[in-house]
Amino acid sequence: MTSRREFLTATGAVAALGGTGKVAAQQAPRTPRQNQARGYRPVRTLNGWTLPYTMKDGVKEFHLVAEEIEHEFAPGTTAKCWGYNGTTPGPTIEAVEGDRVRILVTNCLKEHTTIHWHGLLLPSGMDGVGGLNQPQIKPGETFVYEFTLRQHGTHMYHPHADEMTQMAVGMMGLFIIHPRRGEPVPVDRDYAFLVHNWAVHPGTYRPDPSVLQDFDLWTFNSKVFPAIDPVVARTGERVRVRIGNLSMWNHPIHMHGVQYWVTGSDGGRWPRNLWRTETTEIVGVGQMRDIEFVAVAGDWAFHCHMAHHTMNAMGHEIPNTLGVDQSGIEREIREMLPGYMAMGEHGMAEHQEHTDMGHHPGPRNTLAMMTGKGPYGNIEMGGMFTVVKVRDDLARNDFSDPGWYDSPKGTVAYRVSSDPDYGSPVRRTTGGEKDV
Amino acid sequence: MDRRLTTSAVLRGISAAAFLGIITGCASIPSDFGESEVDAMLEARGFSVPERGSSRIDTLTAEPLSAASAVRLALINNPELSAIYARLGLGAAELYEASRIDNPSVSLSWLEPEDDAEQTQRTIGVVVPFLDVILLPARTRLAKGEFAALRQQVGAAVLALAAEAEHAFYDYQAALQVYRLRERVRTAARLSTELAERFDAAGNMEPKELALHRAAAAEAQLDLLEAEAEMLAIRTELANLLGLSVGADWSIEDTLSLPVPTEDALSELLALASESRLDLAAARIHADVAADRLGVTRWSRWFGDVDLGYEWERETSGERLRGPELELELPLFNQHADELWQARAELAFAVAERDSLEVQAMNAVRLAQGAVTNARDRVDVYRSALIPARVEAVARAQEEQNFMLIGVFELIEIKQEEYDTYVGYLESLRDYWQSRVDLALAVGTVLPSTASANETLELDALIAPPPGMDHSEHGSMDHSEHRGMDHSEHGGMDHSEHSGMDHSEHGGMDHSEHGGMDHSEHDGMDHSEHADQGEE
Repeated sequence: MTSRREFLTATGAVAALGGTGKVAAQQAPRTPRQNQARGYRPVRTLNGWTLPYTMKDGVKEFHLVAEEIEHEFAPGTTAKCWGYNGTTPGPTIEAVEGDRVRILVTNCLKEHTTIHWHGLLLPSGMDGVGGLNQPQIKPGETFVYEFTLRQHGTHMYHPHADEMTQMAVGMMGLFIIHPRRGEPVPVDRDYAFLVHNWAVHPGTYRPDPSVLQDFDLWTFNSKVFPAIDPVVARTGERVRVRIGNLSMWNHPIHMHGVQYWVTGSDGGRWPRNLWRTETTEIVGVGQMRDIEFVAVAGDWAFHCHMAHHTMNAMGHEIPNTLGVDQSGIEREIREMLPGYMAMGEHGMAEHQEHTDMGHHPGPRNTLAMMTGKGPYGNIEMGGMFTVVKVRDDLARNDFSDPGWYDSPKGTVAYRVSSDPDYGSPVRRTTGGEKDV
Repeated sequence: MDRRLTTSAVLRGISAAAFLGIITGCASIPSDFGESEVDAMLEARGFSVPERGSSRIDTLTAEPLSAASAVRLALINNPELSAIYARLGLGAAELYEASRIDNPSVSLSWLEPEDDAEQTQRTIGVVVPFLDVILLPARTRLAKGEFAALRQQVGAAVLALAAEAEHAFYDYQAALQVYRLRERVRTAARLSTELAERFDAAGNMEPKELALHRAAAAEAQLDLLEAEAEMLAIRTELANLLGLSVGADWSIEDTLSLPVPTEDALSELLALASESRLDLAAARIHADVAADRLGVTRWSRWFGDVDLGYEWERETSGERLRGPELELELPLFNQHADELWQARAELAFAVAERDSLEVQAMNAVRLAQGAVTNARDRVDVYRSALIPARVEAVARAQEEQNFMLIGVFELIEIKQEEYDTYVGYLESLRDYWQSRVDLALAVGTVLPSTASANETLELDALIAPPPGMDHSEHGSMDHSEHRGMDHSEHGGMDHSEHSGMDHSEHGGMDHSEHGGMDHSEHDGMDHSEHADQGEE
């Protein structure tokens, strides 16, 4: 028999009730009052950090530095990228609706730059389009942007000078503005990330900004699986994930295990009657989306649903090895090329075995396309893939990785036979004839 | 009658001169017409000339020929060689003629008078062409000089022949290795095509691509056939120079050597050329002889024929008369200035030839040495830059193919480009050794640097990369049959390659025989299936 809490959680009634009262207290989110006292629940930037500020005469003053950095996508691939304050994406700027913010921007690049505040309502001269709203910030210079925040929502910042190059090599960051009156529906955990694409040609150490479609690495917050932080939560908590897209392609973001609501964008929080339940939401280029869900216990894949965006670097237009029998000839080829190995005759599943064992090494600084080990075997993923890990016993402010989910007995798919002729499954022939 | 010139005195003089002539003449013509002297000159220049004879030929061809043994074989078996050495005979004949005194002549006459009362007039006369005697020392000396020059020239011709043979040897050596390389290129193309056919069988190959693969394979086969024809042509050239049948069972060492550690210095080579070149020596001797001849002509032109004789006559009256005779040309109307001018012109000619050859010889040395250096530099670029870059490209391409970043056809193409590079490498090595042959010929002796040991180019080691231990077969290995296996023989097994292997099927195995095994390489292995085992 399910407890009342479990029942309420399953139906999302907690959200409908607004999270107030006893039920909410049993789930122990911060109360609106608690939220108001602090001002906001800080966002957790996956694999990232939030920029601290100093108060100066009631103005929150931030300082961003645009510079070249060394960045690791995952152990095995690093590159020279451009970012802010040592990272790509740059640090998240968090403030509250109504705050006056002053952002100093120092340019340590060797070419000029600016910063545009995507989706923010502000004076034209602060909008950051180089040449149009302001002179560009030359190398070595520091400019000041100052404006009052007149909205709340999920936003981002990025250059608007030599924009394609600067974004292609990593310059972007999140700008989160919390509502003045607190969340109407309190959220227990608040995550944020930016999706992006990189052309780090295998064997090189710098992204190639001239590539427009055939990218090698697809990232959440400039990281690839298996290096993307998991989204952790306690069972029953309300979790928000804010997703921004400054890449060159739209991404259908899919979460397993729940139906989430899409509750807002960089245009602000949507009214409740516009909230949609989805399991996959396309975040278009230049868009942001807030999704919210109530955490269900388990390990849930959370990824872009474009299959090639969940792989690391692969060849484009290579010969198709599916179904190709290379027995015999493989050995002859090895006399000429000792490291040669026939691959892919029966698909790619073996590939991770071989690359994990170091059987056939790849180019330097290049990750294998399929990687990651779970409790039951190889996960065979890369790129835009991470896991939502929900545990009954995760503490409130514990964001550490709880390991793998221990499925309760009887709830794991299990084998009944190893005989391919087992049973009598009904088949249909290709001509669509009657069932045999 | 001049009593000073007695018969006996004259006779003695004549016989003395004749005797001298015989002695001095004989001593200057060896029985083999100077062949052994020529061979000695060749030996002094580093060429060992073996005895001529078919057994020697068999010994030489029993083993694969080296450059040195091929030259040796050419020196005894080249069919043109006899023609060259025969020139010595011509020279010998000329020397013989020059160092001989013309035979005296005897004249006899019987004249019958009409009057019976009178006796037959009998006359016996002996005439010695005394000019020969006068000129003999000079003429002999000049002829010996010319004969010496001829021996040098013969030696030079033999060396030129040896050089031709060595040239052809390197042509053949390179052609053999290029052929083997083209075989590999053909194999690569064939494998690429067979692989394309496998792709086609799976339904994965565009027909146009398959056709292009087949075309490339056919072209590689044509290249191979061309190389084969080339090889035969070159073998035939070498066979001709060695006096062998191209179809007979002889072979050569088929690996080109790498360049010598250090080349000879130019100054050393120029000095050597001046001393060693036989054609230069011949030209110098010839010029000296021409000068000598001019000196001789200066006084000999005053002489025409000088005939000394003696006559006995019995007159018809029975009176006997006898006495010496002298016939002498008087240089009154002309003094044989033409002989002088001719001698002068021949001297000028000989000097010009000698001087021109001096210049050309030194220039030839410089040119050949430049060619050697250039070829050596080319070899070096191949060894130190081009080939390593090609090898690197293949290795890095293999890494890309491992990660499915490029396909196998592109990988094979890159490998073929590596093979093509080796053809250029072999050709530059051949050019190097042929340039050295040219240089030795220009210097006129075997190069001092030839003595230093040469590494041979092991083509197979170069083009077949070191085999790496790879686990290509282990990924899909089926371990399901290992239950109940007898592992008693595994005592001393090398387990170093087993890290990472899937051992999930080994549960239930009998491990009783494994005591004493070295398990040090098993760190990290999952042994959870072994829980029910007893001993370890």
